[in-house]
Amino acid sequence: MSCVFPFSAIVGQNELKTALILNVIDPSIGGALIMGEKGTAKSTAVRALAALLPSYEANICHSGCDPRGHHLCSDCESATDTPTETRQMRVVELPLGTSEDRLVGSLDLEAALHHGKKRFEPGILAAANRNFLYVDEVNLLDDHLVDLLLDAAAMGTVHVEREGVSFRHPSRFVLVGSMNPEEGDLRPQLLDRFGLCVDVKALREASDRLAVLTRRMDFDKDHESFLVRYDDEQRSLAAKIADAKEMLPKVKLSEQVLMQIVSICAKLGLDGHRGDITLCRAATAQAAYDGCDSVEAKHIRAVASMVLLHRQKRQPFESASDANTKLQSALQILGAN
Amino acid sequence: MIGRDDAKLAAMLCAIEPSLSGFIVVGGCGVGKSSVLSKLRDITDDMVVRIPINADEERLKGGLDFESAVKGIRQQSKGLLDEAKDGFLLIEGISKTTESTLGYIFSKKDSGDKFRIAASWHPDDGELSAHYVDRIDLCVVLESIPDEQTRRKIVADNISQSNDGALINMDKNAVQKAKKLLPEVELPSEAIQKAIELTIEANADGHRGEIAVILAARAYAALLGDTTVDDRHIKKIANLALVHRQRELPPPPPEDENEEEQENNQNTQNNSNNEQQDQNQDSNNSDTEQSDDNSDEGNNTREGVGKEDVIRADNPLKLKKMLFDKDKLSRNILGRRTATDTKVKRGRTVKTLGGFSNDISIPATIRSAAPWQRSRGRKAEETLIIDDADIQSRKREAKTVHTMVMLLDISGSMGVQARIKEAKSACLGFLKDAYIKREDVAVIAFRGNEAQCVVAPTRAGATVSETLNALPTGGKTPLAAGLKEAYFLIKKIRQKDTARRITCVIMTDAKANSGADDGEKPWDSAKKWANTLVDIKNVDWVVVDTEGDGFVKLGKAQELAGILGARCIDFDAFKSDGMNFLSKT
Repeated sequence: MSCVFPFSAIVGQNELKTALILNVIDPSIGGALIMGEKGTAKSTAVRALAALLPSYEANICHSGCDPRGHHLCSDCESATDTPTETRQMRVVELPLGTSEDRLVGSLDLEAALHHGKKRFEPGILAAANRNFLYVDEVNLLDDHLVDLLLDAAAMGTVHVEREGVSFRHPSRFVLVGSMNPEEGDLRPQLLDRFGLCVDVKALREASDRLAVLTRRMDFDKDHESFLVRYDDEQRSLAAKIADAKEMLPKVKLSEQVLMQIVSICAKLGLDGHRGDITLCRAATAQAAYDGCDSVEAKHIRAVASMVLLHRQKRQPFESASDANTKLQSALQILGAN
Repeated sequence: MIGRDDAKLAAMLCAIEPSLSGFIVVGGCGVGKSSVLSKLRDITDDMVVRIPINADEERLKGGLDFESAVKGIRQQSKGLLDEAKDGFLLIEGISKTTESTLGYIFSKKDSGDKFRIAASWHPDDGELSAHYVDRIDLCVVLESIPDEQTRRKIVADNISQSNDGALINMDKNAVQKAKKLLPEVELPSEAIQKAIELTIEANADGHRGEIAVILAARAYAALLGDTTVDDRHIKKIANLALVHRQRELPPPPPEDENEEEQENNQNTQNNSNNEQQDQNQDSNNSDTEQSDDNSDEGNNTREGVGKEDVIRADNPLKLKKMLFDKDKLSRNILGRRTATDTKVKRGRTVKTLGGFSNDISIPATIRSAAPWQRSRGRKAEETLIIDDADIQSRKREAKTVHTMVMLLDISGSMGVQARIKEAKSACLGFLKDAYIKREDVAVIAFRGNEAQCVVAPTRAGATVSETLNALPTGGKTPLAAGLKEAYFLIKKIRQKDTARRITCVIMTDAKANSGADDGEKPWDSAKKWANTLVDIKNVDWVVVDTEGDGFVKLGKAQELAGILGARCIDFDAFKSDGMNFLSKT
């Protein structure tokens, strides 16, 4: 049994949990950025997510290519009938001190030195394909690595052209970052890449804080019995997510709702179209999670701040404006609560 | 077809006419740059070779293939540029590509290699030298589409297809047909005349402009199935070929200098006149709000009088690019400004050298060991036999960050003719540049009898610009105190990072008249501190002379620059005269 704190035992932080769950339901939402002070369950929640992730069919290769997909790695493309296996979707971590070679992959030294062969040794971006990619303290990530990461996220594939090796593999991952904003800003381009953004604050209620404390102490005292205690909740949450995933393609997005979404984004004057698209996807995933077969105003309202707040304040020289007020007034299009 | 028509057109024209040097799509986040580029393969059978930002020199240029070499076969592997022969080089986020890679690509292009460039650029990612932009024939600036109906369509398409490029349908058949027709398309001299006219009208530099217009117009005519190029074709595509080549027009001369002078003297209270005057003074001031109605009156109070004013800045001034020479230090903190040797395993490999280090190049080592394998007795499929003498290490070069220290004179003399307003705008220009390069900025302001570090080194652009704007002007010029403050600040920065490169910009007329150390005259004291400062190594000094052309020019700023070994720039010569097609903020 794993020794990760169970997701369902995390007290409060509903927005954070929702943001992660919506990304499991629809990975094309584009990941989540979690902002908050230290010790607010940011990394705990992301690591705990692993236990709730579904599994998928994958080719037995470095990047676990989708056997039915169009985007295959160079190995799978040249081979016929690559054997497949069932893999559990997982959370791959990108440590801050990673080297460029480690991130994108490099020449396989062993093959080169022992056999004089040019072979590609895949990096973290290959391992992250079809999984979650988690960067703790993402604002402190080296600029150069950010560029490589953004490039992979934008293309969905990684082309490696280094040390005489040429290799290509798909790299579609759900990017999750966490950061403490006091330690520095995030580049706007990277900020825009995150589908959702949540602001996590320490719980203020004494009773909640007590619950956090006792659960943590119980967990540390005896992992196994703690996990058993939350087993039912974990199972039902995993089942709820699986149901939502199945339901997702059937959720309807009416012309009227679509128009409302576009009006909200137009009213906020967002750059580009990623905001509109993400709002549609997130609202649809939210509807699926709630078991509704069509997207309604309440679903948009539920996800709006996660999708839109971080896209508003983007001008480097604009003073921190009252983004939330602007958002609330734009949301009036949806009518009264 | 929804929006982005120009981008699609540019791609198609380049697919039709291989003599065009390529196209570049410019725009912010999520406007569809990549979508257009990714569709290129759908409309052409020519090779499309991607240059990822991780591409290293070895792959770019090709070289001796070590796999064959160890088998005793001498074989060159093709570089990416060779692979793209007669086809396209696809460069996403071109400003993120290293300078050395771009330099190599464009030099190959100049020396006649036949490939076209298809690139995207997000200006916030970093600068792209105008020099390079000019060599790409067609350019499209994409903006997000504000109109709701179009937005809705784009979003709906994206949701239903969950494919970013679904709505960009470029017609391959049309391209193929046009390609066939192209040799038959005639180019009458009137059309050439028109192309030249438009190029002149656009105030474009050099002659690449009209050549691009003509090539693109002919391809466009072929695309429409026309066999003669006419005005219609030229007009339609002229913008694609000229938008990035336009030079900023020189600011119109002030309409009547006497009138301006009078207004200054009158301390006018008439707002509309005031604004008008303002526009005359500022070439790039169009829609800045005037929050302080009386702020930009000429403040005729000379230094020493206790009056103070708060004058706000305009939009950031676009400044001339400053280049700095590489110094001798080897660093491990890298950035985007000036070349440096590195201690870390990053940056481009300049060359490989024999001998051990912590950064060994395996391919180079194997290549140098390869010829000896047989004589050393290696049999097929055995481990390579590598001697110490084969080991090759990399020598790398990358770019480093600077910390920008701005020393701003906010004494009364800067209030004259609202010079401070321009100076603040120039500071914002530096700030913006530092933001793009992700560098720290600090500001020291001096007036009256003292200097103060009003912004400690930070990257938070918003705070700095607020602080700058709120700085009042008035009082004497304590230059010595300013220089002294700079000395302590620079020392402090160096304590944290001993190898940090520092740019110190001093904006002043240097007419020191206060702030001296005990018992010293203001100007002597300033000279003393300047002499102390110049001993600090690896600081790039820039003095911006704000004195302007008066009847009596004292030239103190030039003297200061002389002591510091600084470049001294006259304030008015400081603004960029470069390409302005993207300078709107």
